[in-house]
Amino acid sequence: MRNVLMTAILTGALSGPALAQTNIETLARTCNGCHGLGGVSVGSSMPSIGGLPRAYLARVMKEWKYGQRAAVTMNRIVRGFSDDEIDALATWFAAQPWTPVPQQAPAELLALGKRAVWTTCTDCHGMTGGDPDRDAPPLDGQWSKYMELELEKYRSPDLAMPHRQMGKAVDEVKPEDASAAVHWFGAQKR
Amino acid sequence: MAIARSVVVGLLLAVLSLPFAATAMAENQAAVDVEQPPPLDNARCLRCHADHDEKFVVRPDGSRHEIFIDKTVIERSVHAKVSCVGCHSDIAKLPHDKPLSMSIGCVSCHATEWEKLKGTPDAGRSRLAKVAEQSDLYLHSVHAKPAATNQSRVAAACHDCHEGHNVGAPDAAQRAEHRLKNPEVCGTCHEKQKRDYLASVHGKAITEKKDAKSAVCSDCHTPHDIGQPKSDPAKLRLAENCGSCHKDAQRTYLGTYHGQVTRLGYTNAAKCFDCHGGHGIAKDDDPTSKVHADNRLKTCNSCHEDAGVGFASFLAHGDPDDFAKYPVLYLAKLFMQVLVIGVMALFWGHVLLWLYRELMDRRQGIGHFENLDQPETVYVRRFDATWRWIHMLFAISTMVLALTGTSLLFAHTDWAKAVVDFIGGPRVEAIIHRVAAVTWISIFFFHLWVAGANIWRNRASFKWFGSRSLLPNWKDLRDVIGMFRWFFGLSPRPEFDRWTYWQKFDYWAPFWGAMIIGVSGLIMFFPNFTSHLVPGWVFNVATLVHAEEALLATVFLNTVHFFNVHFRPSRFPMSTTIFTGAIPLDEYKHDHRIEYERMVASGELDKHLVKRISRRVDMLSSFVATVLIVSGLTLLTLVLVGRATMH
Ligand code: HEC
Ligand code: HEC
Repeated sequence: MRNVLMTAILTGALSGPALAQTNIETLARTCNGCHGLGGVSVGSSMPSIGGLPRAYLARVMKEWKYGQRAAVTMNRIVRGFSDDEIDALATWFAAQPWTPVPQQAPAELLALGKRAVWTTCTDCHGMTGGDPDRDAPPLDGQWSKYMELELEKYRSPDLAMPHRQMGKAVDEVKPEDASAAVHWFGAQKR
Repeated sequence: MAIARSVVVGLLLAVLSLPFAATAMAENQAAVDVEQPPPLDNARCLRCHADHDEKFVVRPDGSRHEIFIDKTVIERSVHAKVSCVGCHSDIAKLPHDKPLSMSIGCVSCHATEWEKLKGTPDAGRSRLAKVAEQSDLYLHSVHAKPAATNQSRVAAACHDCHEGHNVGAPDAAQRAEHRLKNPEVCGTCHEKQKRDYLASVHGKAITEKKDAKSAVCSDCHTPHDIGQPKSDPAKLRLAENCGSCHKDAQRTYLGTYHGQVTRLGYTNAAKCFDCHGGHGIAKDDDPTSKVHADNRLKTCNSCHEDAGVGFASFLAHGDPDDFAKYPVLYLAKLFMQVLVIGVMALFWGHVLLWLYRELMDRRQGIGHFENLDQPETVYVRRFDATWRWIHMLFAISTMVLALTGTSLLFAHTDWAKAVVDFIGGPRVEAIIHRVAAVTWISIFFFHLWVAGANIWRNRASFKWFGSRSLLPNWKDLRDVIGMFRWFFGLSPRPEFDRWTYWQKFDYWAPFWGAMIIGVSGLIMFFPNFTSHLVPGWVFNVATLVHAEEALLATVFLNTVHFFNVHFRPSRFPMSTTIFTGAIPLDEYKHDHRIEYERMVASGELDKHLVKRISRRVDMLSSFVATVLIVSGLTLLTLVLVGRATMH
């Protein structure tokens, strides 16, 4: 009896990482439905997540889990995950390549957007959104519709968006400029 | 639900406002070129760096760093008009690398700016000259050398000491703040020194009394010209810097041998910190002070190993101008000055009147003239070889003593530094001075012995106040009066016997000098030995009278004696009698008429007559006389320059 128990414990301990590996693969696959294969989204209001910085991925998911960050869907999804699982998912998605999905937009809108980025957003995101600063995710070829929804959350006083500096940046610009800016980002390819 | 509603509203708004946005854009578009990277202006930096709510960042390695910069601080600083990237010049784009490399070129930027300004009318008013000078000092300092612990960085870079964003203009409030913080700043690296300093009088005045006037590190060590503390220049600079606050202490110190040697640029002698201590300096009534009465002798002993108790009572800062504190020194100086001024006034008066009268007489053909048709062929033997040699060695050793002595006394002059450097420093100088002193004293006693022997030999006929004696007699007094009557044209020039009164004065003066200079000199000759016998203040008095008397002698010999013997019109430019021993008969008749007539009467004269000296001996003696006279006049000039520029 004791031997059996020992064996069980040992096996459990030794095969732990291997098990986690397969679990994460499976877990990550559950995200495909909304975020696309390898985290490259195909729906305009769903963000691409493959290739986002690991720290960013882990942080936002934990913020959702602990109710610090507003979300429509994701807070419900991550609630069931342990912190370790979140970290593992973050590692997995961060290991994927960032794949921009360039979207069409009217030339004037793009020009307005470029200008808004030039004046306000470039310091933290870079001109194309592809050169993000500390804390910020890449935005080049991210879905612009999704990004507009995110900006809405920043503007709304009822919704918690913990990153103060991004929040301040949004307040600095007129909504139409911000919207144009995310269209500019959405139109970028690498 | 609330989210969905606001998102819809937002989208609607966005769509509706698009056309307006486009026109707004068209209106301002000309102003900027979005194809170029946006200018790196301060507002962009300060968006993150001036955020009061997020002053710190956590780096991936978990370390916390303050990134906060107080906007008002920059705006108050001298660099208010310089943009952030003006200094942080490796930021070419935003977002910038993190962590930011600290390659800030303070020195090169200031140098370029100064290069641009140099020679323009604004240059004089600019602070940049000062900054350029200071950065140059820094570049040659130990702080600009690789750090001992990490060879890839300098020991201390500009921003290690200067609060980079808070550099104040002179007199600005920041300056005062920085002053008080100075010990902390230096103490970051120099921990032991900081501890000692904070426990010192200087440190306590800063920390406890908030006395911004108390010395901080940079007051003594200078801010930029930081040298190896063991190096001579650094030591000298330290000693000098104490004086920027302790003016009286420095003045009185410079009057002592210690101060003179230091002033000459040598570190052989005690400097401020050798006696008072450095970082941990304490007041002299503090029992921990190195100069506290109980510890003082031990402190002296650290250089003067065998020093006696007298050292402890030496007035290292004795001030002869301060009667209340140092009455003895005051009186000694007063006495010496009255003596110097009295003697010089009397004899310079004598010289000037003599010069005037002789010139007047000569215009009327009165006095002694060289007869060119009949050059002098007959000479009278006046001095034998012994006296000539005695005079020669006396003259040389006196000049050597005067030169080596006054180059200490006038340590503030460039000539003194040059002389001491040339002879090889104060140690060599001390030896030369002592050798010359021994020579001088030996000649003095030798002469006494020779004179005594002469008198003994002629004891049957020698008259103490007779014509051959150098002792003053009533005729001398009459001659003095007679000379002055002559000066004022009241009677003809008196006639003299073998010795004139001025010659007698010249003869007896060294007796007085030997007393004053000799006794004081002997006290200082072996200070360790004498300090067991006499209290310290005796050294102060000895130094003082030694110097004053030596000055008197130097000035007297090289003016009055030179005039009486060489420069008065009938002798000008020189007399070589003391070198050849022979005086031209004509001149002899003129200056020693009484002796001459006595010798003629007694028929003795022929015994003393010598043939005209050879041309070679004549030239040689003129040469020697010239060298000595020129040396004497040079010495006189140096001494007068020194005296006039003292204090
Ligand atoms: C039912 C659809 C759905 C599924 C399944 C889903 N997500 Fe999401 N995800 C969203 C939505 C919608 C958002 C936008 C945020 C919000 O409002 O919830 C989002 C946002 C995200 C973001 C933020 C991206 C950004 O750029 O900020 C991350 C990260 C993320 N999801 C990770 C995951 C992971 C990992 C999984 C799988 C465990 C997953 N999601 C499964 C719908 C989904
Ligand atoms: C001070 C730096 C800063 C500025 C300026 C800034 N952002 Fe951001 N932005 C961030 C950071 C950091 C995040 C990630 C925030 C978080 O983790 O919650 C972010 C997030 C975003 C997101 C959400 C991305 C996602 O994947 O969820 C969008 C969209 C965005 N920014 C657009 C903009 C636009 C448009 C501008 C210019 C008007 C702008 N930002 C200016 C720092 C900045």
